[in-house]
Amino acid sequence: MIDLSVKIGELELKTPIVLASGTCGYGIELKGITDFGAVGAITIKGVSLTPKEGNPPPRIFETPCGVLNRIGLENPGIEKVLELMPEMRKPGVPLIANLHAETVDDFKKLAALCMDFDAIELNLSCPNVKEGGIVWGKDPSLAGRVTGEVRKVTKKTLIVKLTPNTDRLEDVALACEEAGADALSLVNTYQGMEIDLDTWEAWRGGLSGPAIRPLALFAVRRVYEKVKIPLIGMGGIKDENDAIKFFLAGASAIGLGSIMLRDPEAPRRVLSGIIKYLKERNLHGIKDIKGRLRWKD
Amino acid sequence: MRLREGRVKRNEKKGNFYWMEVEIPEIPSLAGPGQFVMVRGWEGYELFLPRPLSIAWSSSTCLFFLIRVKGRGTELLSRMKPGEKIWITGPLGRRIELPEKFILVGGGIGIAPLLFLSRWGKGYAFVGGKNKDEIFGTELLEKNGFEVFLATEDGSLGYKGTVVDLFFKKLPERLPVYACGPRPMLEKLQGYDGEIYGFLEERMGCGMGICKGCAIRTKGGIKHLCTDGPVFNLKEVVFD
Ligand SMILES: Cc1cc2nc3c(=O)[nH]c(=O)nc-3n(C[C@H](O)[C@H](O)[C@H](O)COP(=O)(O)OP(=O)(O)OC[C@H]3O[C@@H](n4cnc5c(N)ncnc54)[C@H](O)[C@@H]3O)c2cc1C
Ligand SMILES: Cc1cc2nc3c(=O)[nH]c(=O)nc-3n(C[C@H](O)[C@H](O)[C@H](O)COP(=O)(O)O)c2cc1C
Ligand code: FES
Repeated sequence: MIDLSVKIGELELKTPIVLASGTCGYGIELKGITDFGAVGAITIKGVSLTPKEGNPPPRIFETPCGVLNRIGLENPGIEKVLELMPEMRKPGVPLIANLHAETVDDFKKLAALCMDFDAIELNLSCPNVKEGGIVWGKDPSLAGRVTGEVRKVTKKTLIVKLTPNTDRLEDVALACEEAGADALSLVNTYQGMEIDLDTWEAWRGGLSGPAIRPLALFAVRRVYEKVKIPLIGMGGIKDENDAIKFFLAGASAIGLGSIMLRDPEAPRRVLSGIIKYLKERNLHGIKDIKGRLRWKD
Repeated sequence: MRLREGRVKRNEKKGNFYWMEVEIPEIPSLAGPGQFVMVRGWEGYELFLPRPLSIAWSSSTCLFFLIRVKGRGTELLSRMKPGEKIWITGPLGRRIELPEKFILVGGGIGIAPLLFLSRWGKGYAFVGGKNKDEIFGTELLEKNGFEVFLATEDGSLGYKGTVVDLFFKKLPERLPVYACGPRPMLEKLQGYDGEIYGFLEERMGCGMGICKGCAIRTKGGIKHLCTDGPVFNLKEVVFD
């Protein structure tokens, strides 16, 4: 018997496959396309206290084996998102609210409004406006503080989503764990840019997709070696082989992001592949492979 | 509208375009006017995203695409041979309600989705391009009951000038207009004093509303090309 369930804080996932934020909408859009039986949890598109228009186009560029996006966190605001709850519940899968805010207060207000979600994920890749505009997740003390403050206002499973754009990743992870995070998800996109050859116009954006997989895998491993709370590993996962590498590196669950844009049926495909891999090796679940890589250098 | 695997049945060069027929039995009966599909003709991941293509025509088991080579993706599609596998999600986008009689205005590759519209009514079709190699589909339009007016910028076929000039010159009746073509063309058509709808273009990630990559600006705020469009009331669109 293969047991694919995993526990992330209080959250019981039937499968270790989480749909990453921003690449599955509110789940609603994928009705009739994605087989939700293969999905452990849906992370909705990042939501803020008030509506956000997002960036003017272009918002998405294809890059070799990847995607560079500058959506700009477009969302209709938490109030409107909560109205979608009955629709969002239809797939019958736990829902994670991905939150972003510019102040600690707004993060707290948002978290308090998320009672009907199964878990909360703090997106720390956006800037903290009150204190010099530095990105929350770049600085251990900022990241720890916002996590601790949100912890005070919610009993929900609290996940902190880490940005890889810092040379203090492990310290940030530790700070969040100490401040009461139940789990960490990583990585968010890597900062990059694109230039138009005709007009010389340039845009900053976040890189995702297979191009970042080795970087993301390394980030997950480095954090795994430092913290005890479970990790949701993501970054460029396109198939079961990639997913298994993230488990071996230490992830308890994995996130599917950009691949959903290309193949919205990826969850079933990846899950079947994981089951096949485990069966062929007489393994019984993710716990048998989690973190079990052997360094050879 | 799941991800389906189909097979290329034919792929022929027609002037500057390619006319591709794809056997994909699940989709044609679902496809309505104004809709598009996301198409990928490769298994590798170097080109990561599928490409949006208009449904240009359909038979009971096949979809037809008119393709203009722009970059790597469309180039790969243009080189596909009969028998090769191709992956398609669709139909996507909002199906539009057409009146019985209407006018089509297509510039260059913009004729692609208009060919499909011609199945649902009759009227007049203004077809333009840089030169005669960019004119496609006139027989099909005529067969469907459309009187065709041609314009080429170099004068190699029909009226010498842009299709918009020809349209404003020849405008036979004040009917609803459906237009597709480059942005400047659509901008000029905003001046038409009647109902006018345009097929817009924007970079897409998913084509099904999950990535928010395809934003366009309208008087009513940000809209998404893949779910609210691709056809919009041109008077509502804000071009910047
Ligand atoms: C709703 C819709 C319907 C379309 N129908 C047709 C059609 O029937 N026939 C046809 O030839 N073309 C059509 N296009 C345009 C076509 O999708 C682009 O030319 C194509 O995606 C370019 O890909 P590429 O790899 O050749 O070019 P590249 O420039 O190398 O593409 C790089 C990336 O940018 C995106 N991109 C670049 N240009 C465009 C564009 N103009 N629109 C959308 N995405 C773009 C690509 O999808 C890809 O992700 C349509 C576009 C839209 C939005
Ligand atoms: C179009 C797009 C939108 C995204 N939006 C969000 C978001 O709102 N909140 C967030 O925390 N991460 C967001 N992400 C990051 C993804 O959730 C994920 O962390 C990242 O893309 C790496 O995984 P991948 O390579 O599998 O895509 C977005 C990514 C993409 C491509
Ligand atoms: S292309 Fe993804 S939302 Fe429109």
